[in-house]
Amino acid sequence: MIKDTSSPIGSILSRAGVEPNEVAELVEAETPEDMYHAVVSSSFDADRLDYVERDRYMTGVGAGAIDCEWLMDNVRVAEIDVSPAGDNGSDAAYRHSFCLLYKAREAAEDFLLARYRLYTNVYLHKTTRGFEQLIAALFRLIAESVDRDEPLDGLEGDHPLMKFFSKNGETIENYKALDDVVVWGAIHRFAVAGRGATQEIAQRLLARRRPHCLDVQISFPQEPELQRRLKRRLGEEFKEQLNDRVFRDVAKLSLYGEIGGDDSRAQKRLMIQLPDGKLKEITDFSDRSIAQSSNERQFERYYFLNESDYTRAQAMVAAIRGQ
Amino acid sequence: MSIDVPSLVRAAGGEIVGKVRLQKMVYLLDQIGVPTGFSFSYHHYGPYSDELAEVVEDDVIFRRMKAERRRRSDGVPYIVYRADTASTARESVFAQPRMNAALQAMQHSSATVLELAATIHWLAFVEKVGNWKAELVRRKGIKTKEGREEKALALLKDLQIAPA
Repeated sequence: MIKDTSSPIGSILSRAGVEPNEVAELVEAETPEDMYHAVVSSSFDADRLDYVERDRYMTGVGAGAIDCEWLMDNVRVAEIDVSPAGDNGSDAAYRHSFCLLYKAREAAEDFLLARYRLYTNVYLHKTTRGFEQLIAALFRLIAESVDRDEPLDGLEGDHPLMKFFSKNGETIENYKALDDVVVWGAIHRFAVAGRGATQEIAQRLLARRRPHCLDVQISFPQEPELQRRLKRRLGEEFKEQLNDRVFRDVAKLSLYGEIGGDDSRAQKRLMIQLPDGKLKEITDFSDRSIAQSSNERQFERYYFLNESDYTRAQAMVAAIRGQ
Repeated sequence: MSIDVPSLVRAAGGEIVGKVRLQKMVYLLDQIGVPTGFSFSYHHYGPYSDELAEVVEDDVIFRRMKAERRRRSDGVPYIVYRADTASTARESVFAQPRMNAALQAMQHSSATVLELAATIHWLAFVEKVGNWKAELVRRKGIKTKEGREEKALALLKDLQIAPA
Protein backbone atom coordinates (compact mmCIF):
# COMPACT_ATOMS: atom_id res chain seq x y z
CA MET A 1 0.00 0.00 0.00
CA ILE A 2 3.00 2.28 0.51
CA LYS A 3 4.24 1.54 -3.03
CA ASP A 4 0.77 1.89 -4.58
CA THR A 5 0.77 5.17 -6.50
CA SER A 6 -2.98 5.60 -6.03
CA SER A 7 -2.62 5.32 -2.24
CA PRO A 8 -2.46 8.56 -0.20
CA ILE A 9 0.31 7.05 1.95
CA GLY A 10 2.89 7.41 -0.83
CA SER A 11 2.01 11.04 -1.55
CA ILE A 12 2.05 11.95 2.16
CA LEU A 13 5.54 10.48 2.46
CA SER A 14 6.69 12.22 -0.73
CA ARG A 15 5.45 15.59 0.53
CA ALA A 16 7.51 15.02 3.67
CA GLY A 17 10.58 14.46 1.48
CA VAL A 18 10.67 10.70 2.05
CA GLU A 19 10.89 8.22 -0.82
CA PRO A 20 7.93 5.77 -0.43
CA ASN A 21 9.84 2.84 -1.96
CA GLU A 22 12.60 3.22 0.61
CA VAL A 23 10.02 3.07 3.41
CA ALA A 24 8.43 -0.01 1.83
CA GLU A 25 11.83 -1.70 1.56
CA LEU A 26 12.53 -0.89 5.20
CA VAL A 27 9.26 -2.50 6.28
CA GLU A 28 9.77 -5.55 4.01
CA ALA A 29 13.40 -6.27 4.94
CA GLU A 30 13.82 -9.47 6.96
CA THR A 31 17.33 -8.60 8.05
CA PRO A 32 18.15 -5.17 9.48
CA GLU A 33 20.20 -3.02 7.12
CA ASP A 34 20.66 0.06 9.27
CA MET A 35 19.55 1.77 12.44
CA TYR A 36 16.32 3.00 10.84
CA HIS A 37 15.22 -0.60 10.55
CA ALA A 38 15.48 -0.82 14.34
CA VAL A 39 12.79 1.86 14.60
CA VAL A 40 10.49 -0.38 12.56
CA SER A 41 11.53 -3.79 13.88
CA SER A 42 13.72 -4.39 16.90
CA SER A 43 13.51 -5.23 20.58
CA PHE A 44 12.67 -1.62 21.14
CA ASP A 45 10.79 -0.51 18.04
CA ALA A 46 8.26 2.31 17.86
CA ASP A 47 5.32 -0.04 17.44
CA ARG A 48 6.09 -1.93 20.64
CA LEU A 49 6.59 1.21 22.69
CA ASP A 50 3.23 2.43 21.42
CA TYR A 51 1.09 -0.67 21.81
CA VAL A 52 2.42 -1.78 25.19
CA GLU A 53 1.03 1.38 26.76
CA ARG A 54 -2.00 1.90 24.52
CA ASP A 55 -3.34 -1.66 24.55
CA ARG A 56 -2.87 -1.90 28.29
CA TYR A 57 -4.90 1.28 28.74
CA MET A 58 -7.59 0.42 26.18
CA THR A 59 -8.15 -3.14 27.43
CA GLY A 60 -7.99 -2.18 31.10
CA VAL A 61 -5.38 -4.83 31.90
CA GLY A 62 -3.87 -4.09 35.29
CA ALA A 63 -0.47 -5.70 34.81
CA GLY A 64 2.39 -4.31 32.78
CA ALA A 65 3.25 -0.68 33.49
CA ILE A 66 6.49 0.54 31.86
CA ASP A 67 8.77 3.48 32.45
CA CYS A 68 8.88 4.78 28.89
CA GLU A 69 10.81 7.98 29.67
CA TRP A 70 13.58 6.16 31.50
CA LEU A 71 13.83 3.63 28.68
CA MET A 72 14.05 6.37 26.05
CA ASP A 73 16.74 8.16 28.08
CA ASN A 74 18.85 5.03 28.03
CA VAL A 75 18.50 3.80 24.46
CA ARG A 76 21.79 3.56 22.58
CA VAL A 77 22.88 2.30 19.19
CA ALA A 78 25.36 -0.56 18.94
CA GLU A 79 26.44 -3.23 16.48
CA ILE A 80 24.31 -6.31 17.10
CA ASP A 81 24.93 -9.78 15.71
CA VAL A 82 21.85 -10.66 13.64
CA SER A 83 22.94 -14.18 12.68
CA PRO A 84 20.95 -17.17 14.00
CA ALA A 85 22.11 -18.19 17.47
CA GLY A 86 24.09 -21.40 17.52
CA ASP A 87 27.39 -20.68 15.81
CA ASN A 88 28.75 -18.85 18.85
CA GLY A 89 29.80 -15.83 16.84
CA SER A 90 31.90 -17.77 14.33
CA ASP A 91 29.85 -16.42 11.42
CA ALA A 92 28.56 -13.21 12.92
CA ALA A 93 26.72 -10.59 10.84
CA TYR A 94 26.68 -7.21 12.55
CA ARG A 95 24.21 -4.41 11.99
CA HIS A 96 23.40 -1.25 13.92
CA SER A 97 20.43 -1.62 16.23
CA PHE A 98 19.16 -0.47 19.61
CA CYS A 99 20.41 -1.59 22.99
CA LEU A 100 19.88 -0.23 26.50
CA LEU A 101 22.36 0.95 29.06
CA TYR A 102 22.94 -1.22 32.11
CA LYS A 103 21.24 1.25 34.44
CA ALA A 104 17.98 0.72 32.55
CA ARG A 105 18.12 -3.06 32.93
CA GLU A 106 15.27 -3.26 35.42
CA ALA A 107 13.07 -0.97 33.32
CA ALA A 108 13.92 -3.16 30.31
CA GLU A 109 12.90 -6.28 32.23
CA ASP A 110 9.59 -4.59 33.09
CA PHE A 111 9.16 -3.69 29.43
CA LEU A 112 9.62 -7.30 28.28
CA LEU A 113 7.40 -8.60 31.05
CA ALA A 114 4.71 -6.03 30.20
CA ARG A 115 4.64 -7.27 26.61
CA TYR A 116 4.59 -10.87 27.76
CA ARG A 117 1.60 -10.18 30.01
CA LEU A 118 -0.23 -8.42 27.19
CA TYR A 119 0.20 -11.57 25.13
CA THR A 120 -0.97 -13.91 27.88
CA ASN A 121 -3.82 -11.68 29.07
CA VAL A 122 -5.04 -10.12 25.82
CA TYR A 123 -3.65 -11.22 22.45
CA LEU A 124 -3.58 -14.94 23.27
CA HIS A 125 -6.64 -14.93 25.53
CA LYS A 126 -8.81 -17.93 24.75
CA THR A 127 -11.85 -15.78 23.91
CA THR A 128 -9.89 -13.46 21.60
CA ARG A 129 -8.35 -16.43 19.82
CA GLY A 130 -11.70 -18.25 19.70
CA PHE A 131 -13.35 -15.41 17.78
CA GLU A 132 -10.29 -15.17 15.54
CA GLN A 133 -10.78 -18.85 14.75
CA LEU A 134 -14.42 -18.18 13.82
CA ILE A 135 -13.50 -15.30 11.51
CA ALA A 136 -10.73 -17.40 9.91
CA ALA A 137 -13.16 -20.29 9.42
CA LEU A 138 -15.70 -18.00 7.78
CA PHE A 139 -13.09 -16.64 5.36
CA ARG A 140 -11.92 -20.19 4.64
CA LEU A 141 -15.48 -21.25 3.77
CA ILE A 142 -15.82 -18.30 1.39
CA ALA A 143 -12.48 -19.07 -0.25
CA GLU A 144 -13.37 -22.76 -0.65
CA SER A 145 -16.71 -21.87 -2.20
CA VAL A 146 -15.06 -19.46 -4.65
CA ASP A 147 -12.41 -22.08 -5.44
CA ARG A 148 -15.12 -24.64 -6.30
CA ASP A 149 -16.86 -21.98 -8.38
CA GLU A 150 -20.02 -22.47 -6.36
CA PRO A 151 -22.44 -19.70 -5.39
CA LEU A 152 -22.55 -18.93 -1.69
CA ASP A 153 -25.93 -18.33 -0.08
CA GLY A 154 -26.04 -14.86 1.39
CA LEU A 155 -23.29 -13.27 -0.73
CA GLU A 156 -23.40 -12.03 -4.34
CA GLY A 157 -20.66 -13.11 -6.71
CA ASP A 158 -19.35 -9.54 -7.02
CA HIS A 159 -19.13 -8.94 -3.26
CA PRO A 160 -15.65 -7.62 -2.29
CA LEU A 161 -14.97 -10.76 -0.22
CA MET A 162 -15.81 -13.02 -3.17
CA LYS A 163 -13.62 -10.88 -5.42
CA PHE A 164 -10.71 -10.96 -2.99
CA PHE A 165 -10.78 -14.76 -2.71
CA SER A 166 -11.18 -15.32 -6.46
CA LYS A 167 -8.22 -16.45 -8.58
CA ASN A 168 -5.63 -13.62 -8.73
CA GLY A 169 -8.02 -11.57 -6.60
CA GLU A 170 -5.52 -10.72 -3.87
CA THR A 171 -4.88 -7.25 -5.25
CA ILE A 172 -4.38 -4.08 -3.25
CA GLU A 173 -7.58 -2.68 -4.77
CA ASN A 174 -9.63 -5.67 -3.59
CA TYR A 175 -7.92 -5.65 -0.21
CA LYS A 176 -8.67 -1.96 0.34
CA ALA A 177 -12.36 -2.68 -0.27
CA LEU A 178 -12.45 -4.99 2.76
CA ASP A 179 -13.18 -2.50 5.52
CA ASP A 180 -15.09 -3.27 8.73
CA VAL A 181 -18.45 -2.26 7.28
CA VAL A 182 -18.09 -4.58 4.27
CA VAL A 183 -17.01 -7.57 6.39
CA TRP A 184 -19.65 -7.03 9.09
CA GLY A 185 -22.26 -6.55 6.35
CA ALA A 186 -21.32 -9.96 4.92
CA ILE A 187 -21.55 -11.52 8.39
CA HIS A 188 -25.07 -10.07 8.80
CA ARG A 189 -26.10 -11.49 5.43
CA PHE A 190 -24.69 -14.94 6.25
CA ALA A 191 -26.54 -14.89 9.57
CA VAL A 192 -29.84 -14.33 7.77
CA ALA A 193 -29.47 -16.01 4.39
CA GLY A 194 -26.47 -18.31 4.79
CA ARG A 195 -26.51 -22.06 5.26
CA GLY A 196 -24.81 -24.61 7.47
CA ALA A 197 -21.46 -23.60 8.94
CA THR A 198 -21.42 -20.09 7.40
CA GLN A 199 -24.74 -19.27 9.04
CA GLU A 200 -23.80 -20.87 12.35
CA ILE A 201 -20.49 -19.00 12.54
CA ALA A 202 -22.03 -15.68 11.46
CA GLN A 203 -24.76 -15.97 14.09
CA ARG A 204 -22.19 -16.73 16.75
CA LEU A 205 -20.13 -13.70 15.76
CA LEU A 206 -23.13 -11.37 15.82
CA ALA A 207 -24.37 -12.66 19.18
CA ARG A 208 -20.79 -12.70 20.61
CA ARG A 209 -21.36 -16.40 21.35
CA ARG A 210 -17.87 -17.79 21.72
CA PRO A 211 -17.06 -21.39 20.71
CA HIS A 212 -16.50 -23.96 23.44
CA CYS A 213 -12.83 -24.04 24.33
CA LEU A 214 -10.69 -26.88 25.58
CA ASP A 215 -7.25 -25.67 26.62
CA VAL A 216 -4.66 -28.44 26.47
CA GLN A 217 -2.17 -26.73 28.81
CA ILE A 218 -4.82 -25.80 31.37
CA SER A 219 -6.18 -29.36 31.29
CA PHE A 220 -2.78 -30.67 32.36
CA PRO A 221 -0.63 -27.85 33.76
CA GLN A 222 3.09 -28.67 33.94
CA GLU A 223 2.49 -32.15 32.51
CA PRO A 224 3.78 -32.07 28.93
CA GLU A 225 3.46 -35.82 28.41
CA LEU A 226 -0.23 -35.80 29.30
CA GLN A 227 -0.72 -32.70 27.15
CA ARG A 228 0.76 -34.58 24.20
CA ARG A 229 -1.43 -37.61 24.83
CA LEU A 230 -4.53 -35.42 24.91
CA LYS A 231 -3.48 -33.65 21.75
CA ARG A 232 -3.00 -36.94 19.91
CA ARG A 233 -6.35 -38.32 21.04
CA LEU A 234 -8.15 -35.13 20.08
CA GLY A 235 -6.40 -35.15 16.71
CA GLU A 236 -7.53 -38.72 16.03
CA GLU A 237 -11.06 -38.29 17.36
CA PHE A 238 -11.85 -35.07 15.49
CA LYS A 239 -9.82 -35.62 12.33
CA GLU A 240 -12.93 -35.48 10.14
CA GLN A 241 -14.38 -32.37 11.80
CA LEU A 242 -11.17 -30.34 11.96
CA ASN A 243 -11.55 -26.90 10.33
CA ASP A 244 -15.25 -27.61 9.93
CA ARG A 245 -16.84 -27.84 13.39
CA VAL A 246 -13.65 -28.15 15.38
CA PHE A 247 -10.72 -25.72 15.21
CA ARG A 248 -7.21 -26.15 16.54
CA ASP A 249 -5.28 -23.08 17.59
CA VAL A 250 -1.58 -23.23 18.43
CA ALA A 251 0.72 -20.39 19.48
CA LYS A 252 4.11 -20.19 21.14
CA LEU A 253 5.29 -17.36 23.28
CA SER A 254 8.68 -16.38 24.61
CA LEU A 255 9.79 -13.36 26.55
CA TYR A 256 10.35 -11.66 23.19
CA GLY A 257 6.77 -12.21 22.02
CA GLU A 258 4.99 -14.67 19.81
CA ILE A 259 7.30 -17.07 18.00
CA GLY A 260 6.37 -17.56 14.39
CA GLY A 261 9.22 -19.68 13.08
CA ASP A 262 12.52 -21.23 14.04
CA ASP A 263 13.27 -18.71 16.71
CA SER A 264 12.66 -15.17 17.79
CA ARG A 265 14.10 -12.80 15.20
CA ALA A 266 17.67 -11.92 16.02
CA GLN A 267 16.97 -8.19 15.94
CA LYS A 268 14.26 -8.62 18.58
CA ARG A 269 16.71 -9.74 21.24
CA LEU A 270 17.16 -7.15 23.93
CA MET A 271 20.82 -6.45 24.52
CA ILE A 272 22.18 -4.53 27.50
CA GLN A 273 25.31 -2.43 27.08
CA LEU A 274 27.76 -2.85 29.95
CA PRO A 275 29.98 0.02 31.16
CA ASP A 276 32.89 -1.37 29.05
CA GLY A 277 30.73 -1.20 25.90
CA LYS A 278 30.22 -4.95 25.59
CA LEU A 279 26.74 -6.31 25.02
CA LYS A 280 24.94 -8.95 27.01
CA GLU A 281 21.53 -10.47 26.38
CA ILE A 282 19.11 -9.34 29.07
CA THR A 283 18.34 -12.80 30.43
CA ASP A 284 22.02 -13.71 30.83
CA PHE A 285 22.46 -11.84 34.12
CA SER A 286 22.66 -14.05 37.19
CA ASP A 287 20.44 -11.70 39.21
CA ARG A 288 17.78 -11.37 36.51
CA SER A 289 14.15 -11.29 37.63
CA ILE A 290 12.73 -12.54 34.34
CA ALA A 291 12.79 -16.00 32.80
CA GLN A 292 15.22 -17.18 30.14
CA SER A 293 14.24 -15.85 26.76
CA SER A 294 14.69 -19.34 25.28
CA ASN A 295 11.83 -20.63 27.44
CA GLU A 296 8.78 -21.18 25.31
CA ARG A 297 5.25 -21.25 26.55
CA GLN A 298 2.87 -23.23 24.42
CA PHE A 299 -0.78 -22.33 23.92
CA GLU A 300 -2.88 -25.04 22.35
CA ARG A 301 -6.63 -24.91 22.28
CA TYR A 302 -9.40 -26.78 20.56
CA TYR A 303 -12.55 -24.83 19.78
CA PHE A 304 -15.88 -26.57 19.22
CA LEU A 305 -19.03 -25.26 17.57
CA ASN A 306 -21.10 -28.15 18.95
CA GLU A 307 -21.57 -28.81 22.62
CA SER A 308 -21.70 -32.57 22.01
CA ASP A 309 -18.18 -32.52 20.48
CA TYR A 310 -16.96 -30.46 23.41
CA THR A 311 -18.45 -32.94 25.87
CA ARG A 312 -16.65 -35.81 24.09
CA ALA A 313 -13.41 -33.88 24.31
CA GLN A 314 -13.90 -33.26 28.03
CA ALA A 315 -14.49 -36.99 28.50
CA MET A 316 -11.07 -37.60 26.94
CA VAL A 317 -9.45 -35.28 29.45
CA ALA A 318 -11.16 -37.16 32.28
CA ALA A 319 -10.09 -40.52 30.80
CA ILE A 320 -6.45 -39.41 30.61
CA ARG A 321 -6.66 -38.20 34.20
CA GLY A 322 -7.84 -41.68 35.05
CA GLN A 323 -11.16 -40.62 36.46
CA MET B 1 5.11 -41.01 8.15
CA SER B 2 7.99 -38.64 8.84
CA ILE B 3 11.70 -39.26 9.36
CA ASP B 4 12.96 -40.15 12.80
CA VAL B 5 14.63 -36.96 14.05
CA PRO B 6 16.73 -38.60 16.82
CA SER B 7 18.16 -40.91 14.12
CA LEU B 8 19.03 -37.86 12.05
CA VAL B 9 20.76 -36.26 15.03
CA ARG B 10 22.72 -39.48 15.63
CA ALA B 11 23.69 -39.72 11.95
CA ALA B 12 24.83 -36.10 12.07
CA GLY B 13 27.33 -37.00 14.80
CA GLY B 14 25.06 -36.97 17.83
CA GLU B 15 24.51 -33.23 17.98
CA ILE B 16 22.72 -30.57 15.94
CA VAL B 17 23.22 -27.04 17.20
CA GLY B 18 20.29 -24.65 16.97
CA LYS B 19 16.72 -24.78 15.72
CA VAL B 20 17.59 -22.94 12.53
CA ARG B 21 20.28 -25.49 11.65
CA LEU B 22 17.96 -28.44 12.30
CA GLN B 23 15.12 -26.96 10.26
CA LYS B 24 17.29 -26.07 7.29
CA MET B 25 19.08 -29.44 7.33
CA VAL B 26 15.77 -31.29 7.15
CA TYR B 27 14.52 -28.98 4.40
CA LEU B 28 17.65 -29.58 2.32
CA LEU B 29 17.52 -33.33 2.97
CA ASP B 30 13.95 -33.27 1.71
CA GLN B 31 15.14 -31.59 -1.48
CA ILE B 32 17.84 -34.16 -2.16
CA GLY B 33 15.31 -36.95 -2.02
CA VAL B 34 14.90 -37.98 1.61
CA PRO B 35 11.15 -38.41 2.11
CA THR B 36 11.05 -36.41 5.34
CA GLY B 37 7.25 -36.26 5.44
CA PHE B 38 7.21 -32.60 6.46
CA SER B 39 5.72 -29.65 4.60
CA PHE B 40 7.46 -26.30 4.70
CA SER B 41 6.40 -22.68 4.50
CA TYR B 42 8.48 -19.50 4.44
CA HIS B 43 9.34 -17.75 7.71
CA HIS B 44 11.90 -15.11 8.58
CA TYR B 45 14.84 -17.56 8.62
CA GLY B 46 13.67 -19.22 5.38
CA PRO B 47 11.81 -22.53 4.85
CA TYR B 48 10.32 -23.79 8.10
CA SER B 49 8.08 -26.67 9.10
CA ASP B 50 5.62 -26.41 12.00
CA GLU B 51 5.17 -30.18 11.85
CA LEU B 52 8.90 -30.75 12.25
CA ALA B 53 9.01 -28.35 15.22
CA GLU B 54 6.16 -30.28 16.82
CA VAL B 55 7.79 -33.68 16.23
CA VAL B 56 11.04 -32.36 17.74
CA GLU B 57 9.16 -31.16 20.83
CA ASP B 58 7.54 -34.59 21.16
CA ASP B 59 10.93 -36.29 20.85
CA VAL B 60 12.31 -34.11 23.64
CA ILE B 61 9.25 -34.49 25.91
CA PHE B 62 9.25 -38.29 25.50
CA ARG B 63 13.05 -38.33 26.04
CA ARG B 64 13.93 -39.78 22.63
CA MET B 65 16.56 -37.04 22.42
CA LYS B 66 17.82 -34.21 24.58
CA ALA B 67 17.58 -30.46 24.16
CA GLU B 68 20.35 -28.62 25.99
CA ARG B 69 20.25 -24.88 26.53
CA ARG B 70 23.46 -23.00 25.88
CA ARG B 71 24.42 -19.38 25.44
CA ARG B 72 26.57 -17.52 22.97
CA SER B 73 29.41 -15.42 24.35
CA ASP B 74 27.08 -12.37 24.29
CA GLY B 75 24.52 -14.33 26.29
CA VAL B 76 22.11 -15.05 23.44
CA PRO B 77 20.56 -18.45 24.21
CA TYR B 78 20.22 -21.36 21.80
CA ILE B 79 19.33 -25.03 21.91
CA VAL B 80 21.49 -28.04 21.14
CA TYR B 81 19.77 -31.29 20.18
CA ARG B 82 21.64 -34.38 21.28
CA ALA B 83 21.02 -38.06 20.69
CA ASP B 84 22.96 -41.02 21.99
CA THR B 85 25.16 -42.28 19.15
CA ALA B 86 25.34 -45.75 20.74
CA SER B 87 21.79 -46.47 19.64
CA THR B 88 21.44 -47.70 16.05
CA ALA B 89 17.70 -47.83 15.51
CA ARG B 90 16.13 -46.71 12.20
CA GLU B 91 19.12 -44.96 10.71
CA SER B 92 19.27 -46.73 7.35
CA VAL B 93 18.28 -43.77 5.19
CA PHE B 94 21.07 -41.63 6.63
CA ALA B 95 23.66 -44.41 6.38
CA GLN B 96 23.67 -44.19 2.57
CA PRO B 97 26.96 -42.63 1.39
CA ARG B 98 25.25 -39.73 -0.41
CA MET B 99 23.16 -38.84 2.63
CA ASN B 100 26.11 -39.18 4.92
CA ALA B 101 28.17 -36.85 2.73
CA ALA B 102 25.28 -34.38 2.64
CA LEU B 103 25.00 -34.39 6.43
CA GLN B 104 28.73 -33.82 6.78
CA ALA B 105 28.65 -30.91 4.32
CA MET B 106 25.73 -29.29 6.15
CA GLN B 107 27.32 -29.78 9.57
CA HIS B 108 30.45 -28.03 8.30
CA SER B 109 28.43 -24.99 7.22
CA SER B 110 27.37 -22.19 9.55
CA ALA B 111 23.70 -21.74 10.44
CA THR B 112 23.64 -18.54 8.37
CA VAL B 113 25.00 -20.38 5.30
CA LEU B 114 22.36 -23.10 5.77
CA GLU B 115 19.70 -20.40 6.09
CA LEU B 116 20.91 -18.86 2.82
CA ALA B 117 21.16 -22.21 1.01
CA ALA B 118 17.63 -23.22 2.00
CA THR B 119 16.32 -19.76 1.08
CA ILE B 120 18.05 -19.80 -2.34
CA HIS B 121 16.47 -23.18 -3.07
CA TRP B 122 13.07 -21.95 -1.88
CA LEU B 123 13.23 -18.78 -3.99
CA ALA B 124 14.43 -20.58 -7.14
CA PHE B 125 12.28 -23.71 -7.03
CA VAL B 126 9.27 -23.04 -4.78
CA GLU B 127 8.53 -19.35 -5.28
CA LYS B 128 10.14 -19.59 -8.75
CA VAL B 129 11.58 -16.08 -8.50
CA GLY B 130 13.39 -15.33 -11.78
CA ASN B 131 16.06 -13.10 -10.28
CA TRP B 132 16.47 -15.08 -7.07
CA LYS B 133 19.90 -13.54 -6.41
CA ALA B 134 18.46 -10.03 -6.15
CA GLU B 135 15.58 -11.29 -4.05
CA LEU B 136 17.99 -13.13 -1.74
CA VAL B 137 19.96 -9.93 -1.14
CA ARG B 138 16.74 -7.99 -0.61
CA ARG B 139 15.52 -10.45 2.03
CA LYS B 140 18.75 -11.44 3.72
CA GLY B 141 20.86 -8.28 3.36
CA ILE B 142 24.10 -8.39 5.35
CA LYS B 143 23.87 -12.16 5.73
CA THR B 144 24.69 -12.58 2.02
CA LYS B 145 28.02 -10.72 2.40
CA GLU B 146 31.53 -11.89 3.27
CA GLY B 147 31.34 -14.92 0.98
CA ARG B 148 28.32 -16.47 2.67
CA GLU B 149 26.14 -16.40 -0.46
CA GLU B 150 28.91 -18.12 -2.42
CA LYS B 151 29.30 -20.73 0.35
CA ALA B 152 25.57 -21.36 0.29
CA LEU B 153 25.62 -21.87 -3.48
CA ALA B 154 28.63 -24.17 -3.19
CA LEU B 155 26.75 -26.23 -0.62
CA LEU B 156 23.74 -26.51 -2.93
CA LYS B 157 26.08 -27.62 -5.73
CA ASP B 158 27.59 -30.26 -3.43
CA LEU B 159 24.08 -31.45 -2.72
CA GLN B 160 23.29 -31.33 -6.47
CA ILE B 161 20.27 -29.08 -6.02
CA ALA B 162 21.71 -25.71 -7.04
CA PRO B 163 19.64 -23.48 -9.33
CA ALA B 164 21.06 -22.66 -12.77
